[in-house]
Amino acid sequence: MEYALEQDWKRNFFLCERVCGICSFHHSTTYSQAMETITGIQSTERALLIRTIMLELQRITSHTLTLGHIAESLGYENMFMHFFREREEFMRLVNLISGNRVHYSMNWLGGVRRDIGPELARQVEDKLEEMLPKLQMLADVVRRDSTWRKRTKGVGVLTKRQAMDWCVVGPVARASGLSDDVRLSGNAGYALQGIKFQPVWREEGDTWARSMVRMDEVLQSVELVHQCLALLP
Amino acid sequence: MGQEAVDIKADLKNRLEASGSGPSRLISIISLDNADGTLDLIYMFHRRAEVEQLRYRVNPDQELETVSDLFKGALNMEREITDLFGMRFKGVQGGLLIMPDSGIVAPPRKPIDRPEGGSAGWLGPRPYPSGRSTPHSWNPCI
Repeated sequence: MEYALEQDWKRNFFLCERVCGICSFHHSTTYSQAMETITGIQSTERALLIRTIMLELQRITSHTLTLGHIAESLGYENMFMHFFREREEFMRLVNLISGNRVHYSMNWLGGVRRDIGPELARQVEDKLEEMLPKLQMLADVVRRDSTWRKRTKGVGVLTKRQAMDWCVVGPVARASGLSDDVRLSGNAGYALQGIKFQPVWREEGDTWARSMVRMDEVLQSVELVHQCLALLP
Repeated sequence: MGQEAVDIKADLKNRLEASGSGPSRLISIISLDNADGTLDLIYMFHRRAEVEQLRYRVNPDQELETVSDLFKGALNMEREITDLFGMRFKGVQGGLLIMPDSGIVAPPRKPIDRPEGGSAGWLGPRPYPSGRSTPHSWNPCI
């Protein structure tokens, strides 16, 4: 892939996405930001907000996938199916916006290749309104269900010290008492005026905490998408 | 070439201690080939919600001190750099991404642009499925 990346900087916006099928948009956003820094070309506020919307929708599909697989590993097949059923709705939503389910191919130097117009924004809002109670129900299960708790509480504890030593990042680090979140560095549209966001973090460091951090981040992502849609100029 | 030996570990330790702003967490070590016989090693840290970078220019022929006793997670990052860029760290074995006996040595390294008559730089073997020797002679678009 590194050889392929040397060939054509324009193709790389799409090539970078192929690094991963779960966090594809994050890779192309990173490449776009690097290219924009090098060339001095600035994205418009609208493009930054659309990027943030897609990043958060991808966070939802990524976290629900992980939570579904945690449920499966716990022997909780029924919850696995619940998570993947709700995830599918978000896969269809990103398909509605980008025309793609996995590799959105939306990023470009200085902006994005697809707009979210008023009609599409309303459809996204409606879908989020529809999905929020379902996601809250799943969060309640992760938070309170005795089967989930018995099989995750105190299991696989990663202490804060260990997380620091082993260079852990993301929701795993945030479940071990580290409140770091790369979104606080102000990439994409997270630094824009009107975006309110505080990292979700917990101190327990066990599998339950890692599940809860992801679950709460899913609910937070829904809120962030609402904020971005409301701010679209 | 002619790059002075850099003691990255001592420098990192001094800088992190001197800053005195709470613990730092290593996120990643990025390696960059400058195509002039030097490598840049970029150490990325997360500290107080800020991402900071420390950049060192090194001669790939020198053996560096490992920082894996400061940050245990650095071990695999250094193994990756050993495999992909041929950099050596004391006490660190490669073999994380490339099998030791595969005959593939530092595949992403670039040929050195050197003046006519200059000393030969690092041009290790870089076998590639195409049978050609440099990334520039291999273009999947053609």
